[in-house]
Amino acid sequence: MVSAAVLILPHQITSNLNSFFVELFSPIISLRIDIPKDLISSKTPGSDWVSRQEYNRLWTAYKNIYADLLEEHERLEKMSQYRSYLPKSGAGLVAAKVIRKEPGQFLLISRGALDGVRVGQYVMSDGAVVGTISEVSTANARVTLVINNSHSLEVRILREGNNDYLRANIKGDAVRACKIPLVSREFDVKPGDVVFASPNTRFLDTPRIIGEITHVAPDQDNPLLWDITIRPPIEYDRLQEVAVVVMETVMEAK
Amino acid sequence: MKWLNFIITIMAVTLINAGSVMGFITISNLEIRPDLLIAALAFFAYISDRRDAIITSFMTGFMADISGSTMGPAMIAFGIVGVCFSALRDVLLMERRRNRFGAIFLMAMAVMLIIDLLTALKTGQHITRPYLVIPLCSFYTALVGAFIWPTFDFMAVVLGVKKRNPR
Repeated sequence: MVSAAVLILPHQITSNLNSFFVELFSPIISLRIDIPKDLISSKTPGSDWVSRQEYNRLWTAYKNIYADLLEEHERLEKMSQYRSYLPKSGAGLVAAKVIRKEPGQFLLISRGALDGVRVGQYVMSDGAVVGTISEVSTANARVTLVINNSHSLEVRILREGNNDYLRANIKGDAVRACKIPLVSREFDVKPGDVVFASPNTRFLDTPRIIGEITHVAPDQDNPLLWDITIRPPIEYDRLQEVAVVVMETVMEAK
Repeated sequence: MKWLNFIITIMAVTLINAGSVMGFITISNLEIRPDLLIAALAFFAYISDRRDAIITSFMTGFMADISGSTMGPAMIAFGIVGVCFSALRDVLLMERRRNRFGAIFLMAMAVMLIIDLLTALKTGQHITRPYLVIPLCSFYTALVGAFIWPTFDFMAVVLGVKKRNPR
């Protein structure tokens, strides 16, 4: 009887119990066992060698700067025609600790509504978008990762040296990568093209990288479409800290 | 049953199960990890008398719910499976490791399927996981459960479990 009643109660109400448990035991839950990298790898860092993690970080930073450059070019073109009326306020970042990675490609993070975190906001790590906020309690929030297959996000595909963006939507494959469905084969998409999260007025002011296209082939079910696979540059198992993009101030959120 | 000791034990199992420590034994990107609460459910449903088995099953389910993301599904799943397993106890011989493995595997499959179904019903969000995830998680749970069974057996003495008499 009690369990049936708990099941029937709305999720918004009962999720407070889950948040309470996490808040109470977060020091224990977030304890990790990390094997020192020296034990795994026999390679020693030298002047011409960097770790995969460092490579991904540098690659992500480079691609983001490139996207910023394109944005600046666009803005410069507009500025040369007329003056902007209002300055861009800029986005703030709320740093959060990853309490745990949950089954089904979710993360539980240590920041919540009190810190200005809202549903829909973008979550980044090492400069790349890793997911969006899907649930918020007072002190915690749940992040749905981009590799979650129930998660859809508007993106832009960009090729280096080319200023035109191709707009599309991505979906996770529930394992480690993402897919872009419903892109016609009329469009020229190739491995190596970079995928950025589309900016929007509420949650993101500049495009931020999500990943790189690693595989493009004709869709087996519909030969008129591409089957596109994207590999995010983030190792989700090793995520310990993330940053939530908060476009409004904490005071406004309250 | 010494209920305070039981609550402390099940709380400890829940914290280990929900903690990031479990990431250490998680296999592959499919997040194949054992569910220690299902192993505990199998043990307590088997070892306790009927009334205690029902209470421990629902309490274990409650702990699974509260440490997860949705309240309700695990309590019902653990309750139903625990009660059924308790009823079948007389025809099962869990002293052999392979029997424990088989029983925990089937219980884990049933529990995970019911939880997925009820979670989708409650939240309206159906996450289609790769088909292999539930069988592999159940297999891993059964493997770990079969090996930690003697630890639970030892704990039973501390918990003062009132063992049922075999028929």
